[in-house]
Amino acid sequence: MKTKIFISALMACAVAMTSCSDFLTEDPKGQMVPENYFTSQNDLDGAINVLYAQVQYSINGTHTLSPNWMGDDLTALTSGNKDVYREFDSYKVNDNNADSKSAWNTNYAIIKAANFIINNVEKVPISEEEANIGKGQALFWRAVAYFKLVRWYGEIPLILTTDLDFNVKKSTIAQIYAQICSDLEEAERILPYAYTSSPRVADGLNNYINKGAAQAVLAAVYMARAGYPLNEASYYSKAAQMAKAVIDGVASNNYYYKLEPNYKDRFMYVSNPYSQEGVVAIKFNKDNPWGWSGLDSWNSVCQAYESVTNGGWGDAVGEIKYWKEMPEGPRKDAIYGSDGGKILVEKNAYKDQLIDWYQKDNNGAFILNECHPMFRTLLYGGGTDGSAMKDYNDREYTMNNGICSQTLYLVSYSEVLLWYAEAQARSGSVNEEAKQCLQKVLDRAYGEGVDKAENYSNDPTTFANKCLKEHGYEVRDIM
Amino acid sequence: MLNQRKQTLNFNIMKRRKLNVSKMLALGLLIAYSTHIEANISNEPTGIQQNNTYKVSGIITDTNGEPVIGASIVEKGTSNGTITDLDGKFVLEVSAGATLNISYIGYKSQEVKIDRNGLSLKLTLKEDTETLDEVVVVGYGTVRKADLAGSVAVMDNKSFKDQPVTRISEALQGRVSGVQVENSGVPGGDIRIRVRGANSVNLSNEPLYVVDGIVREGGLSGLNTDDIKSIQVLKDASSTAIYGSRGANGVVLVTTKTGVAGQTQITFDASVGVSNVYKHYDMLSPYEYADAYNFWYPGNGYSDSELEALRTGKKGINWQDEMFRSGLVQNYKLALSGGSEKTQYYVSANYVNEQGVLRYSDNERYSARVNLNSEVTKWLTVTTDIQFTHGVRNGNTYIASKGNPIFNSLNYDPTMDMFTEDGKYNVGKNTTGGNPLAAIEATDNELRTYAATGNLSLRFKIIDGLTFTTTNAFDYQDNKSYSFSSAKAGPTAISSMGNSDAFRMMLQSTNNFTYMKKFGKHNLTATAVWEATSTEYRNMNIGGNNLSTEAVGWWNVNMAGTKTLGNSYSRETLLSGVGRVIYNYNDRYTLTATFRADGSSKFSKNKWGYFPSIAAAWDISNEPFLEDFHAIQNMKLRASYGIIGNQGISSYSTLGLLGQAYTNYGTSSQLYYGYWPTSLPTPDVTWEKTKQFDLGLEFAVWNQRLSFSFDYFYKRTVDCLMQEPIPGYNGGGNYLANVGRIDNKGIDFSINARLIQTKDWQWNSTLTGTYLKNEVKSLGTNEYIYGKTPADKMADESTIVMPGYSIGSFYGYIWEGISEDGKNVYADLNNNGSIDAGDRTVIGNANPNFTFGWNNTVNYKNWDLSMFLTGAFGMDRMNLVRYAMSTSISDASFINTKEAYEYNWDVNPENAKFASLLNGGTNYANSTQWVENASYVRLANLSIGYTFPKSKTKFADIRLSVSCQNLFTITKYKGMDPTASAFTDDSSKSVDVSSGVDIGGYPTPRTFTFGVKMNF
Repeated sequence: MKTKIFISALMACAVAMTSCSDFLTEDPKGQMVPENYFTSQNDLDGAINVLYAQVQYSINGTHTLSPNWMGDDLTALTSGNKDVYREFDSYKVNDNNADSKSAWNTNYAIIKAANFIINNVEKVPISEEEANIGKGQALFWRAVAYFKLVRWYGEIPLILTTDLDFNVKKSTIAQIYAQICSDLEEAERILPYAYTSSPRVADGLNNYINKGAAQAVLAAVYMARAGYPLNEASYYSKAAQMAKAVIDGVASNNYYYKLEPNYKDRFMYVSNPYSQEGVVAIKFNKDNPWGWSGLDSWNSVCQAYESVTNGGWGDAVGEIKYWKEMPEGPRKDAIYGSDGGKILVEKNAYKDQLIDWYQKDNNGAFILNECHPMFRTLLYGGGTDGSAMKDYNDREYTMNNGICSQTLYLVSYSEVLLWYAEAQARSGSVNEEAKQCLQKVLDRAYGEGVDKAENYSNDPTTFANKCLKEHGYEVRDIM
Repeated sequence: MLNQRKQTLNFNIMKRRKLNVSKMLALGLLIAYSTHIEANISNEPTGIQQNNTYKVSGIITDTNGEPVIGASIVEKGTSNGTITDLDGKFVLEVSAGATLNISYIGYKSQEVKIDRNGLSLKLTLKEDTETLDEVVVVGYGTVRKADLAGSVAVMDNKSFKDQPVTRISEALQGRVSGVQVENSGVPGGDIRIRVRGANSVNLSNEPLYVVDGIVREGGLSGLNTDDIKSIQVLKDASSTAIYGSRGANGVVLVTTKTGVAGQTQITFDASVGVSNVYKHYDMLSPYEYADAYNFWYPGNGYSDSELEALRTGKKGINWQDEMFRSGLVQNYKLALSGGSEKTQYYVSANYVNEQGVLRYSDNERYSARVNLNSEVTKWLTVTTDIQFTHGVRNGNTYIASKGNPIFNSLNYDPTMDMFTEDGKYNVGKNTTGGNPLAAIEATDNELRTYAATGNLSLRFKIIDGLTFTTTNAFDYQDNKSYSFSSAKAGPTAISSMGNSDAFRMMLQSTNNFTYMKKFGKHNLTATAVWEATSTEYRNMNIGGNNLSTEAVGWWNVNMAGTKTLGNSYSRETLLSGVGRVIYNYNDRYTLTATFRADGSSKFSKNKWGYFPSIAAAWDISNEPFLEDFHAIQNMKLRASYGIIGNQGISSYSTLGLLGQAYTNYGTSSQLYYGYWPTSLPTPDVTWEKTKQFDLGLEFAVWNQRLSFSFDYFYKRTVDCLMQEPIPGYNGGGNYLANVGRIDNKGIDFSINARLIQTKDWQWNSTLTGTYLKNEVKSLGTNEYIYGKTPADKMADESTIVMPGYSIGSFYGYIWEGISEDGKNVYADLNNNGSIDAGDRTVIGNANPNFTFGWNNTVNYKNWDLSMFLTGAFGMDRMNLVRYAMSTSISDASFINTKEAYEYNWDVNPENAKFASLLNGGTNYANSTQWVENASYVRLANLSIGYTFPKSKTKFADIRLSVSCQNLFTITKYKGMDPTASAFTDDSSKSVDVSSGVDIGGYPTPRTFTFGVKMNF
C-alpha cells in the first residue's frame, strides 16, 4: 500500500509538472515578433538601417551589377566562369544566369525593405518631420530599384506591400515609371535639404538621401521617360527643371555638391575617400570584423575589372572600340591608368614594367593574354594594404585580399550638369547655363579650353548629342 | 538434432585439456572472485543451520563438453555462492530447498532446485546466441527475441572489441545491415549515420540516439567504446514508431555495461597507433612546375637563375610534406565492475589522444562513467548512471569550400617562398586561395567540450508482472570554442580572435508502466509511457579583429580593434504518450501494436501528431507440422507497417519572426541594426511523415551455425517539410511547407556464421549488406533544388535534388572529350547549338547503391585474429581537387600534377585527357570529366592478438595485439580517398543534398595500432 501511495504521488507529480499547456508554447526570447515592431523612432531607424544594408548588397560587387555589362564600355572574357557577364555583354542572357537572379533579387530586396517602412511608418509615434525623413528614404530607394529593374527587364511585377502574392501580374513599363515618378516626387517634396547628425551625414557626405538626391534622380527618370521606350518627349523640360533645381541648390548653398577640379580625384578612394561630387553615394568599409559581408566593396582589383594574367579575377575588361574612341586627356588617363593607358605588369618576366595592353613579347605572344584595355577606376581602393594605390601613377602593384573601402557613386554632380545641358537642349534651346554646364565637364576632361561647348551650341540636337557622348565617357556611376 | 541439443544433462566424460583463451580469462576471475565470496560468507549472519543445509557439488560444461571455468553458482536470493574451478567443478553448501542460479557471460543462465543433500549436478550451459529467450532491447523496454516482430539489428560488442575503434559511430559502418556511415575523417570530426537512406531534403537525416533510455542530443560522441554492451538499430516502422516524431530516421539504441553480481572485473586496455596518408597525388616537383610554366608561358615565366635554384632544391616547397605528417592515436581504458546480488557497480575511465595526419589537427577526449544498480527493497530497484566527457579538439573544420586548406595545398605554387620578406606567409601565384600552411599553422581553432549525462531510475514492482519505472535524466553539454588568426597568415591578413560558448541542457522524464504476463500459451507485454522532454540552448560569442598585440591570443577581446558580440536563446519541448502491446501465442504468432502521441512546441497550431504501427510475426519453425523438419531452424516471417514523424525544424521557425540585418554606413567601427520581414508565419505547418513497410525473413541452418536475416523495406516520406521559395519579387527567401515526397526502398541482410567451432579453432563470420534506392518523387512547387555551392564561381550548382533522381545527385555537363583544337567538348543536350546552362543533367550519385561489411574473428588457442572488410558500390565523387590541379581556372590557373602535364593537349595531343591551357574554351568543374567512380572495397581492419594467461604472467591475463586499419583499398577513384569528401556546412538543407564533392576531403589514414589489454 505504501508503495502504491508513493507511486501515485510520483505519477501525479510527473503529470502535473508536464501537462500545463504552457509547456508547449514557444517564447522566442531575444527575437522580434512582427506585432512588437514600429513602436518607436529606434524601430524606424532600424528599418532604415536594413534598407541601407540592402542598398549596399545591391551594388557592393560585380555579381549584382552584371546587367551593366550591356553597356558599350565593358566586355567579358570568354574563358572559365565569366559566362554570367558574357551573356549580358552579348544580350543573350540565359534563364540560369546566376547574376541576373542576384541583380533581380537584391533590387527587389530593397523594394521589400522600403515597402516595410512605407506601409508602417504611420504607426510610429513620432513627429511628421521624422516620419517624412523615414518615408522619404524608403520612397527614394524603392524608386531607384524600380528604375534599375525597369531598364534591365522591362515589364516587371510592381510590388508595393510586404505581403506574398504568388499570382501577381507584370505591370507595363508605363505603370512602373508612373510609380517611380510618384515615389520620387513625394520624396522630393518631403525630404530635407540637409542633415546634421550621424549616421545621416558623416565625413561631409550624406548617408541618408536628401532633397537634392531625389531631384537628381527624378531628373534622370524624366529623361528616361522622354526617351525610349515611352518617348514622352515633354519630360525633357521637366528633367531640365529638376536638374536645374539641383544646380540652383548648389548655388544657394543648400547642397554641398561640387565638381572635383581633377577628374581622377573622384576615384582616389584613399586620398579622397568621400568626394563631394557624389550626389547619391554609398560608402563601404573593409576595416571591420565582418569582412566579405557586403558592407565592404568587392569591386576592387581581385573581384573585378582586371586581367587574370595580371593577378585580377578578370570579371570585366574594357571594350576596345570604346577605348579607341575616347579622346585623350586627363579623364582617359584616370580611367585606364596613367601613361596613355599603359598597364603596369604585376607578375612574371615583365613585372613592374609599363606596357601597352596589346604589347607582345619576343615570341609574339600577348604579354597579357586577354589583350584588352583595363579599367582602373574602381581599383584605386585596392593595393597591398588597401591604401597603397594613392594615385593612378602609383606603381605599387595591387595585391590585396579582394575587399576594399570605397565610396561608390550612383549619381555624381557632373552627371547632373550633363543631364541639365542635354535635357535643356532637347526641350528646345541651348541656353547659356547649359553651355556652362557642358563646358565645366569638357574643361576637366580635356584641359581648360581644349574643347568648347560653344562649338556645338548652334544646333540643339548636336549639342544634346555631344552631352550624351560626354556622359558616356564621363560617367562611371553605377545606378 | 535440435531436441538433442536441448538436453540439459551431459554425461560426457571430462578429459584433461590444455587451457584455452577463455579459460585463462576465467582463471583470473576465479581467483579474484573467490576472495570476494569468502569475504561475503564470513560476514553472513548465522541464519544457516548446519542441519538445514545441503551440500551440492557439480561440473559445468558447455555444449562442446568443455568445462566452463569461472561460472557463477549463486544461491538464489542470497549472496552465498561460488565459481567453478579449472575443471568446471564446484562445491557449495546451500539451505535446504534452495534454488541455484548458474550463470556465465555469453551463456544462458540456468536454475536448479536443490531438493536433497549431496546432490551431484552435471550441467551444460548453452551459448546465449542459441536461445530464443534472448532479450532484445527495443524502445521503452526489452522483448524476448521470439516476440520481436519488428526489424532490429543488433551489434554486440564482440564485433568490435578486439579492434582499435576510438569512436563507436565508426564501428557501425558495415557491421549493421541497413546502416551507412560516412566519416569526415577529421580527428573528432563529424560522422554521418543513415539508417535506410535519407528521408528529407531540408531536415536532418541523422537517426535518434538513445543511450540506456535517454535521448542523447549529441549523438554517440564521447562514449567509451568499452562501456558499450550492445547497440540496437531500430529500422522498421514497428520498432521506430514508438519514438513517434523523432523516429523517422531510425533509432540507435545503446545499452551500456553494468556490473554483474558475483563477477569482479578489472580491465586495463592501452593502445598506440601510428597513422599515415596511404595515397598521395603524384605532383610536379617545384622544378618541373616552373619548367612546365615556362613551356606554356615563355618569356613570362621563370628566369634561368630561378630555375636553377628550383632544380638544385635551394627553393621550392613540397606542399604535401608541409601539410601532412604521421599521426599518432593513443587510447587508454580502465574499467572496474562487480557487485553482489543486490547491488552492482560499473566504473570506467577512458582517455583518447589523436594526432591527425594533417598537421595541427588534434583531438583529445577524457571520459568517465559510474553506474550503480541496487535493489533497495523487494519492490524498488534504483539505477543511477553518471557520465562525464571532456573533449579538446584543435584544427580547422575542413568543410567543403575553396578555403579548405587541403584543397589549397594541392593547388598551391610549389616554387614560391613560404614567407615574405617581412616574415608573413606568402601567397602563391596562379591561385586565389590563401597560404594553406598559414591556414593551419598561423591560425588556431580549439573546441572544448564539457558534457555530462546522468539519470536516476526508480523501478517499482507493483504486482506480479506489473512494473512502474520513472527515469529522470539530464544531458548537458557546453561547447567552448576559441579561434585565433595571426596577421602573419598572409601579406594583407589582419589578426582576429573569437570565443564562443554554446550551452545545451536537455531534461527528460520518462514514466513507464510495463505489464508482462504469461497465461498458458499466451504471452502478453503491455507498455504505457508518459514522457516530457525539454531542451534549452544558450549561446554567447565575442570576436574581434586587428589585435593591438597578438601575444594575448584569444584571451583578451579588449585588445581587438573592432569587436563583434552575440548571444541567443532557444528552447524546445516535447510531450509524449506511448502505448505498446505485444501479444504472442504459443511462441508461434506475434502481434505488436504501438501508438505514440507527440506534442511539440515547434509547431504553432498542429502541435500534436499521432504515430501508429502494427507488426506481425510467424515463427514457422515452432509449428507442429515442422516438428520433425530439422534442416531449417528458427524460421520466422515478419511484416510491419507504420507511420513515423520528423519534427526536425528549428524552434520558432513557424512564427514568422522578423529577421535582423545591419549596415555600417561606411564606418569601420559601428554596426546599425534593424529588423525586417524575412520569414512568413506558417501556423499550419506540421510533421513530416514517413510511412514504412517492412517484410523480413529469418532462418538458420546447420544447427544454427549459419543464420540469415533478410528485410525488404519501402519507406515513403510525405508532407516533407520543405523550404518553398518566396518569389524574388517578394524579396526572396523561403517559407516552410508540408510538400513533396521521397521514397527509399531496398533490402538489408545479415548472415551470421560460426564456421568452425572446435576446441582449438573458432571462426565466426558476419556478412551484412544493404541495397538502397532513394528517389525523390516530388518537391512541391520546386522543380528542383540545388545543393550548396561547393566553390563559388568555380563550381556552382554542382548537386541537385530533382524528382526522378536520388538525393545526392551531381548536376552538370556531359563531357565528350577534347576537340581537334584542344578544347573541351560537351554534349549539347538541348540542341541549341551552344553549350549553356540548358545542357546540364544529372551526372552521378554521391550515395552508394550497395554497401557491405564482412567481419571475421578467428581464434586458435591463445591467438585471435579479426578481419573486417567493407565496401560500397555505385557511388561517385566529384573530384574538384583533381579538376583544379589539372586545368587552368581562375582560382587555380596552373596545373600541379604530373598527369595533368603529361596528358595535356598542348603537350600530348594524341593522348590528351585535359584541354589546352591556351586555346580558350570552357572548362566546367561540374562535368562528367571530373565525376569519378568511387566504389571501393577496403580492408578496414586486420588485428592479431595473443593472450598470455595469468598462470604464466602471475598477475593478469595479458592480450597483446597489433592491428592495421585501412590496410588496402581497392578503388578506381583517383583522389586521395574515396570515402573522404569534405562535409558541407549548410544549415538550410540536409547535408545529404550537397554531399560527395571532394574539395579537400580529410583522407582516412592507414593506421598501425599496438595494444595491450590486461584483465586482472
